[in-house]
Amino acid sequence: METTLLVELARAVWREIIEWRTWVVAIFITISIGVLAVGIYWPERYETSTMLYADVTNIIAPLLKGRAEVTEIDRSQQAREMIYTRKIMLSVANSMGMIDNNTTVEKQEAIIGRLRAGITIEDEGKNYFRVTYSSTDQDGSFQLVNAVVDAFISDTSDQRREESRNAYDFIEQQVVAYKQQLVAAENELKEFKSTNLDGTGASVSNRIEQLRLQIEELKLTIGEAGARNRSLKEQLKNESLYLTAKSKVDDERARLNILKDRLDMLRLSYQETYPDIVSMIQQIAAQELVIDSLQGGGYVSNSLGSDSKENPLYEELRVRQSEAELDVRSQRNRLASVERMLEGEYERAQRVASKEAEMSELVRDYDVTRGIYEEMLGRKEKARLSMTLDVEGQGVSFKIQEPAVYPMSPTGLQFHHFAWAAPFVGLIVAIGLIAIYVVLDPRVRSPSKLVAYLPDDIELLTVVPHIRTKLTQRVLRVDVMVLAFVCVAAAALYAVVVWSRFNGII
Amino acid sequence: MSSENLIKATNTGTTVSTIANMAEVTLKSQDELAALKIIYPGMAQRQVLSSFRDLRTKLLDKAKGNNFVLLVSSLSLGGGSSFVAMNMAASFALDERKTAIYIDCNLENSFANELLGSNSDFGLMEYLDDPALDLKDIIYSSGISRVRVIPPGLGDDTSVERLSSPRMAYLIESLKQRYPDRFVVLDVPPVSESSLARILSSVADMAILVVPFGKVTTNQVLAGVDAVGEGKFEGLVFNN
Repeated sequence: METTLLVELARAVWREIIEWRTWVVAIFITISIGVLAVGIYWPERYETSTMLYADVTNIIAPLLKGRAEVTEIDRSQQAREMIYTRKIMLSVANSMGMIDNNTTVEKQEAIIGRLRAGITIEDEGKNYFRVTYSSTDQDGSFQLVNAVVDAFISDTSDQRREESRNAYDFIEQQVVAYKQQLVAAENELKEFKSTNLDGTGASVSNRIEQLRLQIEELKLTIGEAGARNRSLKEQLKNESLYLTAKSKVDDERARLNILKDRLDMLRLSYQETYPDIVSMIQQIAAQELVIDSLQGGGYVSNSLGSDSKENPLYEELRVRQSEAELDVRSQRNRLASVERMLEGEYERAQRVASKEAEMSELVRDYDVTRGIYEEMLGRKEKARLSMTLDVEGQGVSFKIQEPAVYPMSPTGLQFHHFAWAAPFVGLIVAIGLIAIYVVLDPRVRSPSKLVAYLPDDIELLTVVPHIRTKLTQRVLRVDVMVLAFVCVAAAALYAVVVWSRFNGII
Repeated sequence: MSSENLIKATNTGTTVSTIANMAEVTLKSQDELAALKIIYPGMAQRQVLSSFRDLRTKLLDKAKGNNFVLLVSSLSLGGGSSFVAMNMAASFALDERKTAIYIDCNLENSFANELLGSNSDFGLMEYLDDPALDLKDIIYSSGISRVRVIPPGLGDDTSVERLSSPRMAYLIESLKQRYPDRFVVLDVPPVSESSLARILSSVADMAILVVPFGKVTTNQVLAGVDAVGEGKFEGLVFNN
């Protein structure tokens, strides 16, 4: 079905071409001549190109591996970025005489824009790249490429030197700054150490531990001594100063009591004035006097006899007790002084802790600064080497691998391309227009399409092929003769134009 | 065309003959037929011949072998209805046992006049106007074996009315009835130009419409089918 449609379309197009033959021929000739005319006025372009190589290998690089950085200004991609910069474009325009000091900025921009559009940079494998400029002017194209390459190469070497010099300067400044910082840190640390003699936290805590032990021991000792003292006191109370004293008084009291009992008995039977009672009262009074004297202490009656004497145990206890009391007192004093010392140690511990934080900060500052300073010193030496390399031109450099060649023949679309293409373009346009007409025109040209559109009850009985009679052919031939003549005339004109162009007449 | 008379037609006006004799006075040469785009056996473009044979066979099948009146019209001016109608007549007449008569109803651009040249005195219009005229006065030999022609004659504004008169119906009927092996082909103007197709379809047995190449849209085709009327309409013929 698809093929049938295509065949029918092709047939329909052919029929319409015959139908519209005058127009087809007219369009064909017009387009062909038009394309040829464009070809005549098409400017010829001359293209100059040069290949550059970004040289990164050199003799010194392997010797200094890891010691010095070869300045990385790479490669074709970077070269592209650099060549298109305003700086290089401006210097190219200057050297080509396109701009001078009087050129306005707008004009400069326009010229730079044109240059950028004209210059193409292509990668040609690793580190190789090609700079191309195409222009209608042979000399201009050649000179411009050379100017671009000159500007680029001088700019890169300048830039490289400047870059490594800047890097060295920067690192040197940093080294100086770090050195000052390091000295300051050192001084601070020294000063701190000289003013703080509290010792370390460990010694303080040892001391505290010791003191605490002492305190505990003292407390135990004090408790022990106190208990001994108390028990001695108890004992001392129970012992009397004199061994007899006690029995004598007691005897006298017992007698007194007997006397009183006897008096009471007598009072039951007699008056107060009874002589027994009176004598009894006198006896009692004398007895009380005796007791009083015994108890008064000061008085020593001779009548007390020889059996009263000093108690030795009492003496012994008294001595011991006073010793124990002395002991307790002295231990207490010691405890108090040890506790004071502990307080002092606590204070010292606090001082030491706060100072230690300060100390570690200072040490850290010092360590960090020293590390950086040492690294900077190493870098400075590397930078010095890199700078020397670049100054002597031993780093990356761009070399002209393939110099620009003066363009002898034009490139791109040229007249002969147009001359070849014109008839085909004319033919394609003419036939294309007819084909578009056939496709877009809603009128029926294809029996199979007609069948597809028709309702089922309408039958397409037959398709009569186009009939070609000799008379029709004769009529056609007259018509075609005229058209053929026109075509031949056009072809002749065409040939003459092409010939003249190739021989430089036009 | 083995019996073709090699004597060239002299066109002297004496070629009118009676239908009974079916005399073949001057047969046209193959070159002349080719120039008129009329089919003949052994022609170079066999597809054209076979397409008309095809169409003839289909229509004969529909008529079950009986003779019939075929109306041919086109969808647009210059659509080729005369070409199809004449060739249908010629294809019926290819069979030696059958004859055909081609009635041209196109008052303008008449193909019959082109075929006969100036040697026709009376035509269809004169016959319809003048009851005195006999059928044989308007039937001419076409120069093709067993094919007769009735030219349109000279018409005016009332031609349409005359073509729809009972005398027209009578004419057709009598042409069909006279010989059972005679096929009548009516060539009428395009449906886009006049209503004759619809009017004459009442006297015809079958009607076909010619679809010309690149001149009508499908909607126009459907409108044309409507204009003829579905009663007698048999189908379309695509004329490349």
